[in-house]
Amino acid sequence: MTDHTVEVRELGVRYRRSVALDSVSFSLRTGVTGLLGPNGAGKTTLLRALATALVPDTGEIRVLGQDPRDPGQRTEIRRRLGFLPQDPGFHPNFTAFEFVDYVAILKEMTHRGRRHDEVRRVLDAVGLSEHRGKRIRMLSGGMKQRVALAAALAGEPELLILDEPTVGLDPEQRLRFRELIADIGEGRTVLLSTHQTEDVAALCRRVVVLDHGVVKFDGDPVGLSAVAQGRVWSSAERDPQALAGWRTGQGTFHNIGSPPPGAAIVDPALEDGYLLLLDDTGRRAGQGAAA
Amino acid sequence: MTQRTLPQESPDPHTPDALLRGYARGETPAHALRAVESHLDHCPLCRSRLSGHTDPRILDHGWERLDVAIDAPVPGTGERLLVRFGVPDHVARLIAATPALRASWVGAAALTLLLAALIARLAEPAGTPLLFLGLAPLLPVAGVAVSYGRRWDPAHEMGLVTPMRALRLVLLRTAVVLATCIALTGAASLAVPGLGLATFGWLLPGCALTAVSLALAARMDSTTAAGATAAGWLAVLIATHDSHAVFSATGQTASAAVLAVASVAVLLSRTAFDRPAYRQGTAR
Repeated sequence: MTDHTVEVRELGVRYRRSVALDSVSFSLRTGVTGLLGPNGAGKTTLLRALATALVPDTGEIRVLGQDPRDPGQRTEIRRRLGFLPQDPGFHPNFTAFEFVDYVAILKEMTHRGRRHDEVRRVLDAVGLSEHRGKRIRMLSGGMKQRVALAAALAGEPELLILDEPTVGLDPEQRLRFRELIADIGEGRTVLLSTHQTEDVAALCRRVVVLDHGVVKFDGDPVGLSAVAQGRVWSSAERDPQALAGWRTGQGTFHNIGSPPPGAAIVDPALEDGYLLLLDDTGRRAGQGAAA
Repeated sequence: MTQRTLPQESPDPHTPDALLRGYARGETPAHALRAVESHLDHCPLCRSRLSGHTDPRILDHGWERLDVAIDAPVPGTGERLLVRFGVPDHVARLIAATPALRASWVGAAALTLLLAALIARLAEPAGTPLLFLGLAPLLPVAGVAVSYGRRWDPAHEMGLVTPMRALRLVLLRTAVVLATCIALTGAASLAVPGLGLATFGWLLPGCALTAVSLALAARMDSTTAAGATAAGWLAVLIATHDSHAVFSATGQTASAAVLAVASVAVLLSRTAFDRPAYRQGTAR
Protein backbone atom coordinates (compact mmCIF):
# COMPACT_ATOMS: atom_id res chain seq x y z
CA MET A 1 0.00 0.00 0.00
CA THR A 2 1.08 3.66 -0.38
CA ASP A 3 1.78 6.62 1.88
CA HIS A 4 -1.87 7.47 2.42
CA THR A 5 -2.87 8.05 6.05
CA VAL A 6 -5.82 5.73 5.64
CA GLU A 7 -6.42 3.11 2.99
CA VAL A 8 -9.51 0.94 2.83
CA ARG A 9 -10.06 -1.84 0.32
CA GLU A 10 -13.24 -3.84 -0.22
CA LEU A 11 -14.34 -3.31 3.37
CA GLY A 12 -17.42 -5.27 4.39
CA VAL A 13 -19.36 -5.40 7.67
CA ARG A 14 -22.63 -7.24 8.27
CA TYR A 15 -24.95 -7.03 11.27
CA ARG A 16 -27.00 -10.20 11.33
CA ARG A 17 -29.10 -9.89 8.16
CA SER A 18 -28.30 -6.28 7.25
CA VAL A 19 -25.26 -5.09 5.36
CA ALA A 20 -23.63 -2.08 7.06
CA LEU A 21 -20.69 -1.71 4.66
CA ASP A 22 -20.52 -3.32 1.26
CA SER A 23 -17.14 -3.40 -0.44
CA VAL A 24 -16.10 0.12 0.57
CA SER A 25 -12.79 1.38 -0.84
CA PHE A 26 -11.16 4.76 -0.46
CA SER A 27 -8.02 6.44 0.83
CA LEU A 28 -7.21 9.59 2.79
CA ARG A 29 -4.29 11.98 2.90
CA THR A 30 -3.60 15.07 5.00
CA GLY A 31 -6.53 17.49 5.24
CA VAL A 32 -10.16 17.43 6.29
CA THR A 33 -12.49 14.91 4.66
CA GLY A 34 -16.23 14.92 5.25
CA LEU A 35 -18.27 11.73 5.35
CA LEU A 36 -21.86 12.43 4.41
CA GLY A 37 -24.79 10.06 4.40
CA PRO A 38 -28.29 9.54 5.76
CA ASN A 39 -29.04 7.60 8.95
CA GLY A 40 -28.19 3.93 8.52
CA ALA A 41 -25.73 4.63 5.69
CA GLY A 42 -22.89 2.93 7.59
CA LYS A 43 -20.91 6.05 8.54
CA THR A 44 -20.48 5.14 12.20
CA THR A 45 -19.54 1.56 11.32
CA LEU A 46 -16.88 2.81 8.91
CA LEU A 47 -15.45 5.28 11.42
CA ARG A 48 -15.39 2.67 14.19
CA ALA A 49 -13.57 0.22 11.93
CA LEU A 50 -10.96 2.88 11.11
CA ALA A 51 -10.64 3.81 14.79
CA THR A 52 -9.88 0.16 15.70
CA ALA A 53 -13.13 -0.13 17.67
CA LEU A 54 -14.65 -2.73 15.32
CA VAL A 55 -13.32 -5.66 13.32
CA PRO A 56 -14.66 -5.77 9.76
CA ASP A 57 -15.84 -9.05 8.27
CA THR A 58 -13.99 -8.62 4.99
CA GLY A 59 -11.51 -6.32 3.32
CA GLU A 60 -8.29 -4.62 4.27
CA ILE A 61 -7.53 -1.50 6.28
CA ARG A 62 -4.24 0.36 6.70
CA VAL A 63 -4.25 3.23 9.15
CA LEU A 64 -1.05 5.29 9.38
CA GLY A 65 0.65 2.45 7.57
CA GLN A 66 -0.38 -0.12 10.18
CA ASP A 67 -2.69 -3.11 10.03
CA PRO A 68 -5.26 -2.98 12.87
CA ARG A 69 -5.62 -6.78 12.85
CA ASP A 70 -2.13 -7.13 14.31
CA PRO A 71 -2.14 -6.42 18.11
CA GLY A 72 1.17 -4.53 18.06
CA GLN A 73 0.28 -2.45 15.02
CA ARG A 74 -3.17 -1.78 16.47
CA THR A 75 -1.56 -0.28 19.57
CA GLU A 76 0.68 1.86 17.35
CA ILE A 77 -2.40 3.20 15.53
CA ARG A 78 -4.03 3.97 18.87
CA ARG A 79 -0.97 5.96 19.96
CA ARG A 80 -1.40 8.28 17.00
CA LEU A 81 -5.20 8.43 16.85
CA GLY A 82 -7.86 10.75 18.26
CA PHE A 83 -11.42 9.40 18.13
CA LEU A 84 -14.70 11.08 19.00
CA PRO A 85 -17.43 8.40 19.08
CA GLN A 86 -20.99 9.17 18.10
CA ASP A 87 -22.30 8.75 21.65
CA PRO A 88 -19.36 9.52 23.90
CA GLY A 89 -19.90 8.37 27.46
CA PHE A 90 -18.47 10.03 30.54
CA HIS A 91 -17.75 9.23 34.14
CA PRO A 92 -20.36 11.61 35.51
CA ASN A 93 -18.57 12.40 38.76
CA PHE A 94 -15.49 13.68 36.97
CA THR A 95 -15.08 17.33 36.15
CA ALA A 96 -14.38 18.31 32.54
CA PHE A 97 -10.70 18.63 33.45
CA GLU A 98 -10.60 15.28 35.24
CA PHE A 99 -12.26 13.46 32.36
CA VAL A 100 -9.91 14.84 29.72
CA ASP A 101 -7.04 14.14 32.11
CA TYR A 102 -8.31 10.54 32.46
CA VAL A 103 -8.32 10.05 28.67
CA ALA A 104 -4.87 11.67 28.48
CA ILE A 105 -3.60 9.11 31.00
CA LEU A 106 -5.06 6.33 28.85
CA LYS A 107 -3.08 7.90 26.00
CA GLU A 108 0.07 7.19 27.99
CA MET A 109 0.68 10.74 29.21
CA THR A 110 1.91 9.96 32.68
CA HIS A 111 3.98 13.07 33.42
CA ARG A 112 1.65 15.16 35.56
CA GLY A 113 2.88 18.64 34.62
CA ARG A 114 3.04 18.06 30.86
CA ARG A 115 -0.29 16.22 30.91
CA HIS A 116 -2.06 19.00 32.77
CA ASP A 117 -0.63 21.56 30.35
CA GLU A 118 -2.01 19.50 27.47
CA VAL A 119 -5.43 19.15 29.15
CA ARG A 120 -5.59 22.91 29.65
CA ARG A 121 -4.57 23.47 26.03
CA VAL A 122 -7.29 21.25 24.53
CA LEU A 123 -9.98 22.54 26.90
CA ASP A 124 -9.02 26.05 25.87
CA ALA A 125 -9.13 25.03 22.19
CA VAL A 126 -12.75 23.89 22.55
CA GLY A 127 -13.68 26.96 24.61
CA LEU A 128 -14.18 25.19 27.92
CA SER A 129 -11.44 26.76 30.03
CA GLU A 130 -13.93 28.50 32.29
CA HIS A 131 -15.96 25.33 32.81
CA ARG A 132 -13.11 22.91 33.40
CA GLY A 133 -13.90 22.59 37.10
CA LYS A 134 -17.58 21.72 36.56
CA ARG A 135 -18.85 18.18 37.04
CA ILE A 136 -19.75 16.63 33.70
CA ARG A 137 -23.26 15.80 34.89
CA MET A 138 -23.83 19.55 35.31
CA LEU A 139 -22.81 20.39 31.73
CA SER A 140 -25.16 20.90 28.78
CA GLY A 141 -25.19 18.48 25.84
CA GLY A 142 -23.12 20.84 23.70
CA MET A 143 -20.55 21.26 26.45
CA LYS A 144 -20.30 17.48 26.93
CA GLN A 145 -19.70 17.14 23.22
CA ARG A 146 -16.86 19.65 23.49
CA VAL A 147 -15.38 17.78 26.46
CA ALA A 148 -15.31 14.62 24.33
CA LEU A 149 -13.77 16.58 21.46
CA ALA A 150 -11.09 17.92 23.81
CA ALA A 151 -10.34 14.35 24.92
CA ALA A 152 -9.99 13.30 21.27
CA LEU A 153 -7.61 16.21 20.60
CA ALA A 154 -5.37 15.45 23.59
CA GLY A 155 -1.88 14.40 22.57
CA GLU A 156 -2.05 16.07 19.14
CA PRO A 157 -3.00 12.92 17.23
CA GLU A 158 -1.88 12.57 13.62
CA LEU A 159 -5.26 11.18 12.61
CA LEU A 160 -8.50 12.55 13.99
CA ILE A 161 -11.74 10.60 13.46
CA LEU A 162 -14.83 12.52 14.52
CA ASP A 163 -18.31 11.01 14.43
CA GLU A 164 -20.86 13.81 14.14
CA PRO A 165 -18.80 16.30 16.10
CA THR A 166 -21.15 19.25 15.58
CA VAL A 167 -24.21 17.63 17.15
CA GLY A 168 -25.47 19.79 19.99
CA LEU A 169 -23.29 22.79 19.16
CA ASP A 170 -24.91 26.21 18.77
CA PRO A 171 -24.02 28.34 15.72
CA GLU A 172 -21.21 30.21 17.51
CA GLN A 173 -19.69 26.99 18.83
CA ARG A 174 -20.01 25.43 15.38
CA LEU A 175 -18.12 28.35 13.87
CA ARG A 176 -15.39 27.99 16.47
CA PHE A 177 -15.28 24.24 15.83
CA ARG A 178 -14.80 24.84 12.12
CA GLU A 179 -11.89 27.18 12.79
CA LEU A 180 -10.31 24.66 15.10
CA ILE A 181 -10.67 21.71 12.71
CA ALA A 182 -9.50 23.81 9.77
CA ASP A 183 -6.32 24.61 11.72
CA ILE A 184 -5.76 20.98 12.66
CA GLY A 185 -6.42 19.83 9.10
CA GLU A 186 -3.55 21.94 7.82
CA GLY A 187 -0.98 19.40 8.92
CA ARG A 188 -2.92 16.34 9.89
CA THR A 189 -5.65 14.05 8.62
CA VAL A 190 -9.20 14.61 9.85
CA LEU A 191 -12.17 12.45 8.90
CA LEU A 192 -15.51 13.67 10.18
CA SER A 193 -19.01 12.36 9.62
CA THR A 194 -21.90 14.76 9.59
CA HIS A 195 -25.42 15.37 8.40
CA GLN A 196 -24.58 19.02 7.94
CA THR A 197 -23.66 19.83 4.34
CA GLU A 198 -22.75 23.36 5.56
CA ASP A 199 -19.95 21.87 7.68
CA VAL A 200 -18.60 19.99 4.69
CA ALA A 201 -18.84 23.03 2.42
CA ALA A 202 -17.02 25.17 4.99
CA LEU A 203 -14.35 22.71 6.09
CA CYS A 204 -13.61 19.86 3.75
CA ARG A 205 -11.33 19.62 0.77
CA ARG A 206 -12.84 16.28 0.05
CA VAL A 207 -16.19 14.60 0.59
CA VAL A 208 -17.25 10.95 0.59
CA VAL A 209 -20.95 10.15 0.39
CA LEU A 210 -22.02 6.82 1.82
CA ASP A 211 -25.48 5.33 1.31
CA HIS A 212 -26.65 1.84 2.18
CA GLY A 213 -23.07 0.91 2.98
CA VAL A 214 -21.81 1.86 -0.49
CA VAL A 215 -19.63 4.82 -1.51
CA LYS A 216 -21.79 6.92 -3.84
CA PHE A 217 -19.42 9.83 -4.29
CA ASP A 218 -15.77 10.49 -3.60
CA GLY A 219 -14.42 13.85 -4.69
CA ASP A 220 -14.24 17.51 -3.80
CA PRO A 221 -17.22 19.61 -2.64
CA VAL A 222 -17.36 21.44 -5.97
CA GLY A 223 -17.77 18.08 -7.70
CA LEU A 224 -20.64 17.13 -5.40
CA SER A 225 -22.37 20.45 -6.08
CA ALA A 226 -21.88 19.81 -9.80
CA VAL A 227 -24.08 16.70 -9.56
CA ALA A 228 -26.97 19.18 -9.42
CA GLN A 229 -25.72 21.41 -12.25
CA GLY A 230 -28.70 22.46 -14.38
CA ARG A 231 -31.13 20.70 -12.00
CA VAL A 232 -31.82 23.53 -9.56
CA TRP A 233 -34.18 26.38 -10.36
CA SER A 234 -36.17 29.06 -8.62
CA SER A 235 -39.82 29.85 -9.08
CA ALA A 236 -42.46 32.12 -7.60
CA GLU A 237 -44.66 29.16 -6.63
CA ARG A 238 -43.90 25.57 -5.65
CA ASP A 239 -43.14 23.60 -8.80
CA PRO A 240 -45.07 20.28 -8.83
CA GLN A 241 -42.39 18.74 -11.07
CA ALA A 242 -39.67 19.27 -8.48
CA LEU A 243 -38.39 16.32 -6.47
CA ALA A 244 -38.09 18.71 -3.55
CA GLY A 245 -38.67 22.40 -3.12
CA TRP A 246 -38.68 24.89 -0.30
CA ARG A 247 -39.36 28.57 0.19
CA THR A 248 -36.21 30.61 0.62
CA GLY A 249 -35.68 33.74 2.66
CA GLN A 250 -36.27 35.83 -0.47
CA GLY A 251 -39.79 34.43 -0.78
CA THR A 252 -39.13 32.40 -3.94
CA PHE A 253 -39.10 28.60 -4.14
CA HIS A 254 -35.83 26.69 -4.50
CA ASN A 255 -36.54 23.57 -6.56
CA ILE A 256 -34.39 20.59 -7.39
CA GLY A 257 -35.09 17.80 -9.87
CA SER A 258 -35.81 18.00 -13.59
CA PRO A 259 -36.48 21.65 -14.44
CA PRO A 260 -39.32 22.55 -16.81
CA PRO A 261 -38.43 24.34 -20.06
CA GLY A 262 -37.62 28.00 -19.48
CA ALA A 263 -37.03 27.52 -15.74
CA ALA A 264 -34.78 30.05 -13.98
CA ILE A 265 -31.76 27.82 -13.40
CA VAL A 266 -29.60 28.79 -10.44
CA ASP A 267 -26.16 27.68 -9.27
CA PRO A 268 -26.39 24.51 -7.20
CA ALA A 269 -25.19 24.29 -3.61
CA LEU A 270 -23.51 21.28 -2.03
CA GLU A 271 -26.79 20.26 -0.42
CA ASP A 272 -28.52 20.17 -3.82
CA GLY A 273 -25.89 17.83 -5.21
CA TYR A 274 -26.07 15.62 -2.12
CA LEU A 275 -29.89 15.36 -2.22
CA LEU A 276 -29.94 14.61 -5.92
CA LEU A 277 -27.17 12.05 -5.56
CA LEU A 278 -29.20 10.18 -2.97
CA ASP A 279 -32.31 10.47 -5.11
CA ASP A 280 -30.43 9.17 -8.12
CA THR A 281 -29.64 6.06 -6.10
CA GLY A 282 -33.32 5.41 -5.53
CA ARG A 283 -33.98 7.47 -2.42
CA ARG A 284 -36.47 10.27 -2.29
CA ALA A 285 -34.63 13.55 -1.95
CA GLY A 286 -36.88 14.63 0.86
CA GLN A 287 -35.75 11.73 3.02
CA GLY A 288 -32.16 12.76 2.46
CA ALA A 289 -32.96 16.29 3.61
CA ALA A 290 -34.57 14.92 6.78
CA ALA A 291 -31.44 12.90 7.51
CA MET B 1 37.93 35.69 55.78
CA THR B 2 35.77 37.64 53.31
CA GLN B 3 34.08 40.69 54.75
CA ARG B 4 30.29 40.52 54.48
CA THR B 5 28.44 43.64 53.31
CA LEU B 6 24.89 43.67 54.60
CA PRO B 7 22.36 46.16 53.20
CA GLN B 8 21.77 47.81 56.54
CA GLU B 9 25.47 48.65 56.70
CA SER B 10 25.11 51.00 53.70
CA PRO B 11 24.77 54.70 54.55
CA ASP B 12 21.84 54.74 52.06
CA PRO B 13 18.87 53.04 53.80
CA HIS B 14 17.77 51.48 50.48
CA THR B 15 19.09 48.29 48.89
CA PRO B 16 22.03 48.98 46.55
CA ASP B 17 21.44 48.46 42.81
CA ALA B 18 24.01 45.68 42.56
CA LEU B 19 22.29 43.73 45.29
CA LEU B 20 18.86 44.26 43.69
CA ARG B 21 20.19 43.06 40.34
CA GLY B 22 21.61 39.97 41.99
CA TYR B 23 18.32 39.36 43.82
CA ALA B 24 16.35 39.62 40.54
CA ARG B 25 18.67 37.01 39.03
CA GLY B 26 18.34 34.77 42.10
CA GLU B 27 22.02 35.21 42.94
CA THR B 28 21.77 36.90 46.34
CA PRO B 29 24.12 35.28 48.86
CA ALA B 30 22.27 33.35 51.54
CA HIS B 31 23.56 35.58 54.36
CA ALA B 32 22.09 38.70 52.69
CA LEU B 33 18.81 37.20 51.52
CA ARG B 34 16.81 37.75 54.70
CA ALA B 35 17.93 41.38 55.00
CA VAL B 36 17.04 42.12 51.35
CA GLU B 37 13.61 40.49 51.57
CA SER B 38 12.86 42.12 54.89
CA HIS B 39 13.67 45.54 53.43
CA LEU B 40 11.66 44.85 50.25
CA ASP B 41 8.65 43.94 52.36
CA HIS B 42 8.53 47.44 53.78
CA CYS B 43 9.92 49.59 50.99
CA PRO B 44 7.71 50.35 47.95
CA LEU B 45 10.54 52.33 46.35
CA CYS B 46 12.92 49.35 46.32
CA ARG B 47 10.15 47.05 45.11
CA SER B 48 9.60 49.42 42.24
CA ARG B 49 13.36 49.55 41.53
CA LEU B 50 13.46 45.73 41.68
CA SER B 51 10.87 45.44 38.90
CA GLY B 52 13.26 47.40 36.68
CA HIS B 53 15.88 44.69 37.15
CA THR B 54 13.54 41.76 36.56
CA ASP B 55 13.04 40.02 33.22
CA PRO B 56 9.28 40.44 32.51
CA ARG B 57 9.20 36.96 30.89
CA ILE B 58 10.30 35.37 34.14
CA LEU B 59 7.65 37.35 36.01
CA ASP B 60 4.93 36.36 33.50
CA HIS B 61 5.98 32.73 33.72
CA GLY B 62 5.86 32.92 37.50
CA TRP B 63 2.37 34.44 37.46
CA GLU B 64 1.24 31.85 34.95
CA ARG B 65 2.50 29.03 37.16
CA LEU B 66 0.78 30.61 40.13
CA ASP B 67 -2.49 30.87 38.17
CA VAL B 68 -2.21 27.23 37.15
CA ALA B 69 -1.52 26.17 40.74
CA ILE B 70 -4.49 28.16 42.05
CA ASP B 71 -6.83 26.93 39.29
CA ALA B 72 -5.70 23.30 39.47
CA PRO B 73 -8.74 21.13 40.07
CA VAL B 74 -8.94 19.48 43.45
CA PRO B 75 -9.28 15.70 43.08
CA GLY B 76 -12.04 13.84 44.92
CA THR B 77 -11.58 12.47 48.43
CA GLY B 78 -10.82 8.94 47.26
CA GLU B 79 -8.17 10.13 44.82
CA ARG B 80 -6.52 12.36 47.42
CA LEU B 81 -6.47 9.47 49.87
CA LEU B 82 -4.82 7.17 47.33
CA VAL B 83 -2.19 9.79 46.48
CA ARG B 84 -1.51 10.29 50.21
CA PHE B 85 -0.83 6.54 50.46
CA GLY B 86 1.77 6.84 47.74
CA VAL B 87 -0.29 5.84 44.69
CA PRO B 88 0.90 7.87 41.62
CA ASP B 89 -1.65 10.52 40.69
CA HIS B 90 -2.33 9.06 37.23
CA VAL B 91 -3.02 5.64 38.72
CA ALA B 92 -5.31 7.23 41.32
CA ARG B 93 -7.30 8.84 38.51
CA LEU B 94 -7.64 5.52 36.67
CA ILE B 95 -8.88 3.95 39.90
CA ALA B 96 -11.33 6.81 40.52
CA ALA B 97 -13.02 5.96 37.21
CA THR B 98 -13.85 2.41 38.39
CA PRO B 99 -17.65 2.08 38.04
CA ALA B 100 -17.83 -0.39 40.96
CA LEU B 101 -16.47 2.25 43.31
CA ARG B 102 -19.63 4.31 42.98
CA ALA B 103 -21.38 4.83 46.29
CA SER B 104 -24.43 2.87 45.08
CA TRP B 105 -22.41 -0.29 44.37
CA VAL B 106 -20.29 -0.10 47.50
CA GLY B 107 -23.42 0.59 49.59
CA ALA B 108 -25.26 -2.37 48.08
CA ALA B 109 -22.24 -4.63 48.61
CA ALA B 110 -21.89 -3.50 52.24
CA LEU B 111 -25.58 -4.06 52.93
CA THR B 112 -25.49 -7.51 51.31
CA LEU B 113 -22.51 -8.55 53.41
CA LEU B 114 -24.01 -7.21 56.62
CA LEU B 115 -27.31 -9.00 56.06
CA ALA B 116 -25.53 -12.22 55.11
CA ALA B 117 -23.41 -11.98 58.26
CA LEU B 118 -26.45 -11.34 60.45
CA ILE B 119 -28.46 -14.20 58.96
CA ALA B 120 -25.49 -16.55 59.21
CA ARG B 121 -25.01 -15.61 62.85
CA LEU B 122 -28.69 -16.03 63.71
CA ALA B 123 -28.93 -19.35 61.87
CA GLU B 124 -25.73 -20.84 63.27
CA PRO B 125 -24.69 -18.88 66.39
CA ALA B 126 -21.58 -20.95 67.00
CA GLY B 127 -20.79 -22.55 63.64
CA THR B 128 -19.06 -21.44 60.45
CA PRO B 129 -21.02 -18.56 58.83
CA LEU B 130 -21.61 -20.52 55.64
CA LEU B 131 -24.11 -18.14 54.07
CA PHE B 132 -21.67 -15.26 54.51
CA LEU B 133 -18.71 -17.25 53.21
CA GLY B 134 -20.73 -18.50 50.25
CA LEU B 135 -21.97 -15.05 49.28
CA ALA B 136 -18.88 -12.94 49.91
CA PRO B 137 -16.73 -14.43 47.07
CA LEU B 138 -19.41 -13.40 44.57
CA LEU B 139 -19.12 -9.72 45.46
CA PRO B 140 -15.69 -9.18 43.86
CA VAL B 141 -16.83 -11.25 40.87
CA ALA B 142 -19.81 -8.92 40.44
CA GLY B 143 -17.75 -5.82 41.25
CA VAL B 144 -15.07 -6.66 38.69
CA ALA B 145 -17.69 -7.56 36.06
CA VAL B 146 -19.23 -4.09 36.35
CA SER B 147 -15.86 -2.34 36.32
CA TYR B 148 -15.04 -2.53 32.64
CA GLY B 149 -16.50 -3.30 29.26
CA ARG B 150 -18.96 -1.69 26.91
CA ARG B 151 -21.97 -2.33 29.10
CA TRP B 152 -20.64 -0.86 32.34
CA ASP B 153 -17.86 1.59 31.60
CA PRO B 154 -19.51 4.72 30.19
CA ALA B 155 -16.29 5.85 28.51
CA HIS B 156 -15.43 2.36 27.25
CA GLU B 157 -15.21 3.19 23.57
CA MET B 158 -13.01 6.26 24.11
CA GLY B 159 -10.79 4.13 26.33
CA LEU B 160 -10.71 1.14 23.98
CA VAL B 161 -9.05 3.08 21.18
CA THR B 162 -6.22 4.38 23.38
CA PRO B 163 -2.86 2.61 23.68
CA MET B 164 -3.35 1.76 27.38
CA ARG B 165 -3.33 -2.03 27.74
CA ALA B 166 -6.88 -3.00 28.67
CA LEU B 167 -5.70 -5.84 30.89
CA ARG B 168 -3.66 -3.40 32.97
CA LEU B 169 -6.76 -1.32 33.57
CA VAL B 170 -8.85 -4.41 34.31
CA LEU B 171 -6.29 -5.76 36.82
CA LEU B 172 -5.97 -2.37 38.47
CA ARG B 173 -9.71 -2.17 38.94
CA THR B 174 -9.82 -5.80 40.07
CA ALA B 175 -7.28 -5.03 42.80
CA VAL B 176 -9.32 -2.04 43.91
CA VAL B 177 -12.57 -4.00 43.99
CA LEU B 178 -10.91 -6.80 45.97
CA ALA B 179 -9.45 -4.29 48.43
CA THR B 180 -12.88 -2.72 48.86
CA CYS B 181 -14.46 -6.14 49.48
CA ILE B 182 -11.78 -6.98 52.06
CA ALA B 183 -12.46 -3.69 53.85
CA LEU B 184 -16.21 -4.33 53.78
CA THR B 185 -15.73 -7.87 55.12
CA GLY B 186 -13.60 -6.50 57.91
CA ALA B 187 -16.30 -3.98 58.75
CA ALA B 188 -18.97 -6.71 58.69
CA SER B 189 -16.94 -8.96 60.99
CA LEU B 190 -16.65 -6.10 63.44
CA ALA B 191 -20.32 -5.16 63.15
CA VAL B 192 -21.62 -8.69 63.82
CA PRO B 193 -20.30 -10.05 67.12
CA GLY B 194 -18.75 -13.49 67.16
CA LEU B 195 -17.79 -13.71 63.47
CA GLY B 196 -14.13 -12.99 63.95
CA LEU B 197 -11.45 -13.99 61.47
CA ALA B 198 -13.63 -16.81 60.10
CA THR B 199 -15.17 -14.19 57.82
CA PHE B 200 -11.94 -14.02 55.81
CA GLY B 201 -12.40 -17.61 54.72
CA TRP B 202 -14.02 -16.18 51.59
CA LEU B 203 -10.86 -14.43 50.42
CA LEU B 204 -9.07 -17.22 48.58
CA PRO B 205 -12.25 -18.59 46.93
CA GLY B 206 -13.17 -14.96 46.09
CA CYS B 207 -9.82 -14.35 44.37
CA ALA B 208 -10.09 -17.69 42.54
CA LEU B 209 -13.63 -16.95 41.30
CA THR B 210 -12.60 -13.46 40.21
CA ALA B 211 -9.70 -14.89 38.21
CA VAL B 212 -11.99 -17.52 36.63
CA SER B 213 -14.46 -14.81 35.71
CA LEU B 214 -11.71 -12.71 34.11
CA ALA B 215 -10.39 -15.71 32.18
CA LEU B 216 -13.90 -16.32 30.83
CA ALA B 217 -14.36 -12.59 30.10
CA ALA B 218 -11.50 -12.79 27.59
CA ARG B 219 -13.86 -14.91 25.51
CA MET B 220 -17.29 -13.50 26.29
CA ASP B 221 -19.14 -10.51 27.72
CA SER B 222 -18.02 -9.72 31.30
CA THR B 223 -21.55 -10.05 32.70
CA THR B 224 -22.07 -13.45 31.09
CA ALA B 225 -18.67 -14.54 32.40
CA ALA B 226 -19.58 -13.42 35.93
CA GLY B 227 -22.95 -15.18 35.70
CA ALA B 228 -21.35 -18.43 34.56
CA THR B 229 -18.78 -18.21 37.36
CA ALA B 230 -21.47 -17.57 39.98
CA ALA B 231 -23.51 -20.49 38.70
CA GLY B 232 -20.49 -22.78 38.94
CA TRP B 233 -19.72 -21.58 42.46
CA LEU B 234 -23.30 -22.16 43.64
CA ALA B 235 -23.20 -25.65 42.15
CA VAL B 236 -20.00 -26.39 44.10
CA LEU B 237 -21.53 -25.02 47.33
CA ILE B 238 -24.68 -27.05 46.97
CA ALA B 239 -22.69 -30.18 46.27
CA THR B 240 -20.45 -29.72 49.32
CA HIS B 241 -22.75 -27.91 51.75
CA ASP B 242 -22.82 -30.48 54.54
CA SER B 243 -19.09 -31.10 54.72
CA HIS B 244 -18.03 -27.46 54.71
CA ALA B 245 -15.34 -28.82 52.46
CA VAL B 246 -15.03 -25.67 50.38
CA PHE B 247 -13.78 -23.64 53.33
CA SER B 248 -11.67 -26.39 54.89
CA ALA B 249 -7.90 -26.49 54.41
CA THR B 250 -8.38 -28.83 51.45
CA GLY B 251 -10.96 -26.51 49.92
CA GLN B 252 -8.71 -23.49 50.36
CA THR B 253 -5.85 -25.38 48.71
CA ALA B 254 -8.13 -26.20 45.80
CA SER B 255 -9.09 -22.51 45.58
CA ALA B 256 -5.41 -21.56 45.47
CA ALA B 257 -4.85 -24.03 42.63
CA VAL B 258 -7.83 -22.67 40.70
CA LEU B 259 -6.52 -19.14 41.29
CA ALA B 260 -3.11 -20.08 39.87
CA VAL B 261 -4.52 -21.80 36.78
CA ALA B 262 -7.05 -19.04 36.08
CA SER B 263 -4.38 -16.33 36.52
CA VAL B 264 -2.18 -18.03 33.93
CA ALA B 265 -5.19 -18.27 31.60
CA VAL B 266 -5.83 -14.52 32.03
CA LEU B 267 -2.23 -13.64 31.25
CA LEU B 268 -2.21 -15.90 28.19
CA SER B 269 -5.29 -14.17 26.81
CA ARG B 270 -4.15 -10.63 27.66
CA THR B 271 -4.46 -9.31 24.11
CA ALA B 272 -8.10 -10.39 24.01
CA PHE B 273 -8.98 -7.46 26.26
CA ASP B 274 -7.57 -5.03 23.67
CA ARG B 275 -9.55 -6.50 20.80
CA PRO B 276 -12.20 -4.26 19.32
CA ALA B 277 -15.77 -5.25 19.86
CA TYR B 278 -17.01 -7.48 17.11
CA ARG B 279 -20.21 -6.60 15.30
CA GLN B 280 -21.53 -4.41 18.06
CA GLY B 281 -24.67 -2.38 17.77
CA THR B 282 -26.46 -1.60 14.56
CA ALA B 283 -25.50 0.08 11.32
CA ARG B 284 -25.48 3.85 11.63
